[in-house]
Amino acid sequence: MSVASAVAEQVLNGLVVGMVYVLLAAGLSIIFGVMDVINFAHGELFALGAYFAFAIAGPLGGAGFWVALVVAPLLVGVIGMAIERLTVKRLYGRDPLYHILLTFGLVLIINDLITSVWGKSAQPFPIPSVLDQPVALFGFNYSLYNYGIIIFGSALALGTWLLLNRTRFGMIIRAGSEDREMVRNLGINIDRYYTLTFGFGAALAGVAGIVLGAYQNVSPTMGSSVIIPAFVIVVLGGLGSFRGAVVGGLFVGLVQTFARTYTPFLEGLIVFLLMIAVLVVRPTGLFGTSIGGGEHHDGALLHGSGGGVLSSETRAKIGYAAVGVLVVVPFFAELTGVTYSVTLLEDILIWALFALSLDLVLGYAGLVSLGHTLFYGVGAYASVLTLMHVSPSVLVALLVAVAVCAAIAWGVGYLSIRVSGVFFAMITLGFAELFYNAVFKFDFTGGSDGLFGVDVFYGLAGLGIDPREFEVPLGVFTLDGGIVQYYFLLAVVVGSYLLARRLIRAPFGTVLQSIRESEERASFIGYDVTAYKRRAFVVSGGLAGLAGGLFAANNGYVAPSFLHWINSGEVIVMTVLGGMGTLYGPMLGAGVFVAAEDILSSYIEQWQLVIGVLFVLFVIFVPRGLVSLPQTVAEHPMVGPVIRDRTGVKEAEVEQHD
Amino acid sequence: MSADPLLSVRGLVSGYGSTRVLQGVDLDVPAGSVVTLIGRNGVGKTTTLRSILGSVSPAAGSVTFDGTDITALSPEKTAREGIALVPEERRIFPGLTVTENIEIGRLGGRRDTAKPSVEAIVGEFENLSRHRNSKGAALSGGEQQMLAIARALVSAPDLLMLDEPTEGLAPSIVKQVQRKVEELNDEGATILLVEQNVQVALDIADYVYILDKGQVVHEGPSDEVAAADEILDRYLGVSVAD
Repeated sequence: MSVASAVAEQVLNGLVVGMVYVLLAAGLSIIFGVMDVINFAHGELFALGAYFAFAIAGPLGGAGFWVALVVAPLLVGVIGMAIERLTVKRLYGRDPLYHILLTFGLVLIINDLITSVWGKSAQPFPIPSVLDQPVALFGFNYSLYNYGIIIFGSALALGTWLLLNRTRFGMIIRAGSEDREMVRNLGINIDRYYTLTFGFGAALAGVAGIVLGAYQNVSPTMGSSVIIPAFVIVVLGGLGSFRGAVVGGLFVGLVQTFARTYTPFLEGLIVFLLMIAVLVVRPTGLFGTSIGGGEHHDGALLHGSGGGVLSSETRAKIGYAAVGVLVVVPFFAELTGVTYSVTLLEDILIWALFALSLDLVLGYAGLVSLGHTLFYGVGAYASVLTLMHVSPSVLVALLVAVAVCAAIAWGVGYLSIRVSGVFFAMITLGFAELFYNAVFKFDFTGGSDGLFGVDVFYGLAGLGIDPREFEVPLGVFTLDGGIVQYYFLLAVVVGSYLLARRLIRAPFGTVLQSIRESEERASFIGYDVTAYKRRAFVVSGGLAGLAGGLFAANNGYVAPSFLHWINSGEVIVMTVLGGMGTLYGPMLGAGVFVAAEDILSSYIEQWQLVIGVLFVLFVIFVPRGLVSLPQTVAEHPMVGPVIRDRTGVKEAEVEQHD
Repeated sequence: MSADPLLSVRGLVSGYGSTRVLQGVDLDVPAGSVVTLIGRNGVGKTTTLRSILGSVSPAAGSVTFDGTDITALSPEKTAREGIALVPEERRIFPGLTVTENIEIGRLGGRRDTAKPSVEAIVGEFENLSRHRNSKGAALSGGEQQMLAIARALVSAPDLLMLDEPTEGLAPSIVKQVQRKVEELNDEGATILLVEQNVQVALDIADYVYILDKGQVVHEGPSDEVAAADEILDRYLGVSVAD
């Protein structure tokens, strides 16, 4: 094959993958552009399309593929519409963060449903025999099916463009994306169009899933493997821009394909590097017009409110009691033989610290960091590498972890804090994915195996405790190395909480909160908003690195999965679950989440589904988090008056304003 | 005022969250008239329009339009009854062309009424017909105001509600807007106008309501109100030149 033919073949391969991306990203972008919804479940709808087609085509034989190509996207579209009606719709007007959270819950639900129906392993999905033949063009044989994808994808993209720009439907949804309320004021039921748009976007994802499913195979992970590239494309092209989705999709498809062939080292990295480079130069993406698009009233982030019913003294007492319980748990665990509870608590404490770190930026600076696991993972790697190559001292390892993560946070913050809202979320996600993909590439990070087998020492310069040799009998108890680790962890986490609280109560924290309430007003007073946010981000990154470092030191290993985006999602879930902007709320959220996951997964096979459902309900009905439950109950019309009478809280005074 | 007004508002109490902005507003808009609501900032003028339209749900009181109780209707349903709003700050769709902005207005409004064509409406506004394919964002403030009025008119509403149509416009453009509103009224349109510019409001209106602290504190034919210097001074802090 000549060089020209080889390049032509790569171009075609790139276009095939690119077309799949175009269909996927177009749906995602339309849904964001019109409804301001960042749909993390888009990847799962894509997978659902493939599986529906797989289920329909199999029994029907020959013509099955064609039937499936029509029916499966329609089914996915209907599911998309149901999702919009039942869940997404309830959150319009809130900050886009809540849609991220909601659809994150939907990912768990749909993915669990897929694995419980079709199993966990990948399955072949044959392409129709009529398309399964080579075509000789440009001097080489190339699959007719692949040509089919390019032609079909182009036609569908063109059709979508016509629908958006040349039809009444398109005109209304374009108007709705600019000013939803005004469309309503004209007498048009925009809600119906939203539902249809969501369904249409889902159906496009379904088509993409079928096309790729038959090109490769169908597997339950196909959704999570495309969702991040799809987001990158949408951000690269400009959020909400259809043209951006098309150009970005083809571009990323081509770049990925060429990188795989000619620069394998950069495969998996180049897309994220490109995204970061584009956003640094042009924060709105290639074709984006304005940050956040047309109208986009970003709703407020809903903070936890522990006050109202519980006084701060009561809360402080609860806090002391909680720490007291945590101190005595190891003794009871040893008495009752349930030593597993200590391991679970260690896990909880580490996640609590991770959630606390996120709360500093999410809850206090209003920065939705979607890539916070970057710091957790890097902290873990830095800690293990230090333990392996520098010193077995946990203290040194943690110090290095914190320093490295703070430095990276400064760099990431420098490049990303200039943009806000969804763009910030996407850049942080991009950085996290960049590091996630990078650790596979290097020997010193242990590639896909990660690093394990480190010995730790709790002390400095030979003075301290070696947990392997430590054993002090205390009557019926034995204080061993494991317990020392636990107390060390507890002390670090409690200390970090106190440090964070000190910081938030200092003038620094007050300024941060004023920035969260109104960036513009804070800057008018004379504060350097970006500098404050970046400082908060650095502290947060350092604390997240501490959490990762603690985990690695405690468990003696680190793996690439530490950097997987799912961790970033989970820690946001914990933060909101507990009640952001309270510091202790997210820690409580981590406790409930980790414990629920642990308990559910040992009793129920479909635990992800249960957690997903609970989480979706939670985001819709208790968005201010667990710590706000007492107040939510107090404000309930059935209970409210009783509590109000008792506590003497009077109704808000009537104010005049228009 | 006449016995059967087109729009009748009684005891309207409304606001945002626990804040009550309107504390029992009564007003009537007879068919074919121009009624204006004036008052200082924050007294509830816009909230009155929003409550009539349904984008703010009233806590108490009633809104009757053409004999139908529309108090609890959503904005899209109210618009379908034949009420069109030209909102504060115009709120045209900046990414849509002038023609599309008007077309989308034509999709709204009453279903059982004959609506003018987009072309006919564009033709009525000289400065729009020159820009029919321009994006809304490319228009000047005055042109955008005309577009917002055109977008409302194309739905052939029975009642046109205008919220601060002259706000932020140059004096010569204010005159144009004023002429347009008068022209519409001459053609038989019923108009409920909220206006900061008291002079313009009194010039255009047949009947005036003065709002203060969420209540109607004075009402009367516009020439009477224009002469009531003491009232204008007390509630608006202005006196109107003869």
